[in-house]
This record gives sequence, C-alpha cells and structure tokens, in this order.
Amino acid sequence: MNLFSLALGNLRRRPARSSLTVSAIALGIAAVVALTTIAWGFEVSWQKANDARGTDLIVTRTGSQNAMPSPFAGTAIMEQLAHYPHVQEVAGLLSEMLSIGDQSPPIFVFGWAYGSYLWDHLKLLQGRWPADRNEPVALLGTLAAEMLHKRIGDRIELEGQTLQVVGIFQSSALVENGAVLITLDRAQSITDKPNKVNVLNIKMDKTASEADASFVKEQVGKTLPGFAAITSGELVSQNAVVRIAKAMSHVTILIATLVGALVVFNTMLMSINERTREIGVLQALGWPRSRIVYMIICESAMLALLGGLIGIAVGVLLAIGLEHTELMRGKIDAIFSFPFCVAVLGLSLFLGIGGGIYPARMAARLSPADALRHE
Amino acid sequence: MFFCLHAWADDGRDKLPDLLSAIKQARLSDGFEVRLAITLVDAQKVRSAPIKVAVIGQVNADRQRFLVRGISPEAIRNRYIATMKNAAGSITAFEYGPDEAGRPVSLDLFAGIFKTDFVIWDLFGAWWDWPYQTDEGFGEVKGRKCLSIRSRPAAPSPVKEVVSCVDREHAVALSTQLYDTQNRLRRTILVEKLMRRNSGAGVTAKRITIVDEHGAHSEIEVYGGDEQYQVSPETFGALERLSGKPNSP
Repeated sequence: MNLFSLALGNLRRRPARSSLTVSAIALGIAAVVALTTIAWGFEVSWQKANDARGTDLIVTRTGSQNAMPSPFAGTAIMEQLAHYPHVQEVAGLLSEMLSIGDQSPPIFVFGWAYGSYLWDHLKLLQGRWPADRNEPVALLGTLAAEMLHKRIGDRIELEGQTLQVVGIFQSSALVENGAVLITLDRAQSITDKPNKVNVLNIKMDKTASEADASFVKEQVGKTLPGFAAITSGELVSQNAVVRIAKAMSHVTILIATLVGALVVFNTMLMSINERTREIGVLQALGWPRSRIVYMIICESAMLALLGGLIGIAVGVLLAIGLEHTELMRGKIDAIFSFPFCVAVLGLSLFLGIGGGIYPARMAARLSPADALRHE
Repeated sequence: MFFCLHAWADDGRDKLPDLLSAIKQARLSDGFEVRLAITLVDAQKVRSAPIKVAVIGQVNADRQRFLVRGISPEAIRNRYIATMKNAAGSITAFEYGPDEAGRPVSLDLFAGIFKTDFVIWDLFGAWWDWPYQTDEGFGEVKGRKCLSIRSRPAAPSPVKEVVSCVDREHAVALSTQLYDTQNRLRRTILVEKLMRRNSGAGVTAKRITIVDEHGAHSEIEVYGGDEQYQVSPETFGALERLSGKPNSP
C-alpha cells in the first residue's frame, strides 16, 4: 500500500468529517471563484466595449469615480480637442441606466453622437440605423431585444418618451449587446441634459504614436481644469463598481484562505488525536518521522484539492447563474480562464499544506511508547 | 479628565448655528435635476407601480424655485408643478399641462403631489429659517448618530413644529418629523440611503421614505440626475408668467 492510498483510506474511514471539511473549503473557493470572475468580467466587458469602439483616449471629469462619470457640457471641449495634432475624431457619449417602461429592471441606455465612429464596430442584424440625429428611434442589442421581448417595429418607453425599435445589432462587447442604443441628441433630450455628455471619446489617426497620445493627455491636463484624458483601461479601473467588486473579491480571498486553513488545521488535529495509537504503531513498525509527516500532509492536501475542485465547479455555476439573473443580465460577463483555475487550485493546495503542517509535525513528535499507551 | 473635557468641547452641541448654516449652505444650488421613482405602499403593504418625476431646482439666498415634471405613468406625463419661494418667504405653486395647456391651478402646498406623500412645501425646508431652533441632544437613525434639532416658527403655520435629526458630519437631516397645530405627527421623512455627490464633496439622499399619519408611506429613490443642471430662461418661464414675475435665469 503506498502513501497515497493509505492517506485516502484514512480520509474514507471518517466520511462525515472529511465531507464537512471538503464542503467548507469548497464553499470558500466557490466564493473566491464567483466574485473574482465577476469582478474581472465586469472590468473586461467595459474594456472590450471601449476597445471595440476604437477609442484611444477618453476625456472625463477628474475625480468622477461613480459608475457613470458625471455629465458635463461637451461642445466647447470637443472643439478644442479636435484641434490637437493627430486627433481624427471626437465623439460624445451619454449613458444612463434606465428602466424601459415601469417595471423592468434598469438597462444600459447609450446615446452616441450621430454619424460618429462609435457606431462603426456594430453589426446590424436587422432593420436600419437612425436616419438623423434626432429621429425618435432606438436600436437594441441582441441580448436587450431578448430580455425586453422586443422586435423591429415595437415601441419602447424611455423616461416618458416613446421610441420605435428600428434595428437589432450585435457587438463583441456584452454590455453593448445588453443595451439600448439611441443618438446622443435623443439621449440628451430624454434625460433632460441638453448638450451634455458623460465622456468624450477621442480617436487618433493611424500615424499617431503613444507620444502623441501622451501629448493630448498632457494638454488636456494643462488647458482643461477639472478634466482628464485617460485611456479606456484607466477609466474602467477607476470605476467605483469595478473597484468595489475587486475589493470584495480580495477580502473574500483573504477570508476564504484563513477559514480554509483553519478548517484543515482543525480537522487534521482532531484526526491525529484520534489516531495517536495508530501513529504509535506505525512508528513502532519502523516508519520514519518524515513519512508520518508526508502522510498527514498528503491527507490534508487531498482534502483541500478535492474542496478546491468542487469549489471551482460551484463557483463557475454560481457566476453563470448570477450572469443570468434578471438584474445582472447583459451587465456582467464572468471570465473563466485556465490559469485562474490553476491558481485557485494552487490556493487550495496551499491551504491544505499550510493547515496540515502543524498537525503533521505534532504527530511526528509523538514517542511510540506514549502513543501506544494513549487511550 | 482631559479626555472628558475634550469630548465635551468636541460634541458640537454649542455649535448649533454653525450646523444650521452648514445645512442651508448644502442646499444652495445654481441648478440641479433629480429624477425620482416614487412607490406608494399602503397600510396593508400593497405597493403601487412606481411613479417617476423629475425635479429641477434652483436655490439661493434670495429665491428658491422648483419644477416637478411628471414622467410616468401616462396620467402624469408632462404634467408640471412649478413652485417658488421669494425672499419674503411667500410660496406660490401652480400645476399645468404640456405647453401650459389647460387652466393652470394653484396648489395646496401641504398636499402630496401626484397623489404621493411628496409634499411641495417640504422641498423648501422652510423650518431651517425659523427663529426658534433648539438642540434636543443626540439620537440615532438607522445606526447613524445624529443631533436632534427642534424647529418652531415665529408666525402661525400649518406645520407647528419640526424635529430633525441631523448627521453633523455631512449636514444632512436623516429624519424629519413634521407636527401640525394639534401636535399630531403628520409625516416622517426618513433617509434610508445616502450617496456621495458626483463632485465628491459631501453626500446627499439616495433613498427616502415618507411615512404619513395613517402608516402608509412613499418610497422615493433617486435613479438619475444632474448636479450641475443648466437652468435656461425657459426652465421656469411658465412659473414666472403665471406668478407675474419677470423672467430671469
């Protein structure tokens, strides 16, 4: 019988305790997986949306860390930005979370400057684009159309204004697929924010280098007090929702690590206490102390690995379930990657080994004579 | 002993005028817009479909004025309530339809608008200007420590007394109880949730509950808005025309 099968046998001899330990570790790992994938997914899906649009820099208010940057009058700033070298186009964007009708959960509504490059990356599946900057029409992302049960020709009500659905589009970014898209002018009218935008998107020309982008950033900082030009990545990482989600995920990792290690520690300590005579017999049979240490650590590592595997599966299911809840659908895009799963399994293994070291050393320190006398 | 003295000096209860001044200062705005979803909950806990309104406000030392625009449902869509308080303290309010169509009606300032518990008179926070303000000691609202202030008017008023509990750090009233001339509690305004202002300076109410004397209540949630709303000459144009005042932004 090798060390692995001996350790496995020891765990199987106490099924209730082993199952409880595995469940506790699995729950901790599941929370880590679900929260982390959602936090990353939220960040990545916004990043994807900005990247898909082809935006190089975003001008927003400084210190605006809310989920939606606070609106500002953009016309004069747009004109100024358009004169910077290598700036090909500046496009305003106004977005809000609004309910369609009275009862539906809030959904992203994007108002994009009519005719700007922001529309170029979308694939029109059905219908048409708005005919002019003020036409009272809306386009729905594929997911939004599905969630709202709307088709071409249907009407939707936004803040008391009725808009006709004239197109269904598809985007590579989930947040856009789950959104309602209207022209900027229409969005300003619906939300009563004349001439205002949340952000100004800058597209640089093809000859622009990173130094040119840095120059624009610098100029905005110098000439537009209260505003900053940042990359889409910087905008997303400053977003309050992303920051809160990430902070929660870090705290969960910390708590899960501590709880997991303590659970393994407690289980192994109790197990050794119960098996004192057995360990004494093994020592009397000539087992070296190191082999006893390996056996105990092997047991705790097996518990943690099994807990980790179950936790990853539960966490993935949890994240997918959350993605499909009515409130979150179209807003988060949980990201699962092989390296992340390996890292989480590594964390589980660390918990197992960390929680098993002290009990293993305690077992190895037992003298065979005392162990055999143990009742 | 030193710590006791320090704590006594720092409890701020001798600084009521400063706090009142901070509350009034926090209300000042060249223009703001908030969009509110109001849900009515009756005494049997039955909830209505949300009523959405937009409130545009402008508050300065000489004048306060507000425009409430009905968004949904259809029955209140583009119905407007415009109200103004002048430097002398007199308040006028009118209700009118789209494009000022139909006969504008003067409103009862103490009645809830659009059949909710949201009362026009409360928007002005008139009690902060009343001459009698007394410190009633510390209290707690939803786990937040606050200073209780009792306000009484000098002249007769349908609201005889207001008891507020104010978060001193943010100069925000967490609860406001309004009593009528018979000393009956007419309504309680409770701040359920605060949110940081977009500017980052200070906080403001995100969710409010107004409980009426019968136990029914209105839950009011801010779901959108603009802290730097650009008030145009036309924003309060109808109000100025109806009250016969010159139009000024």
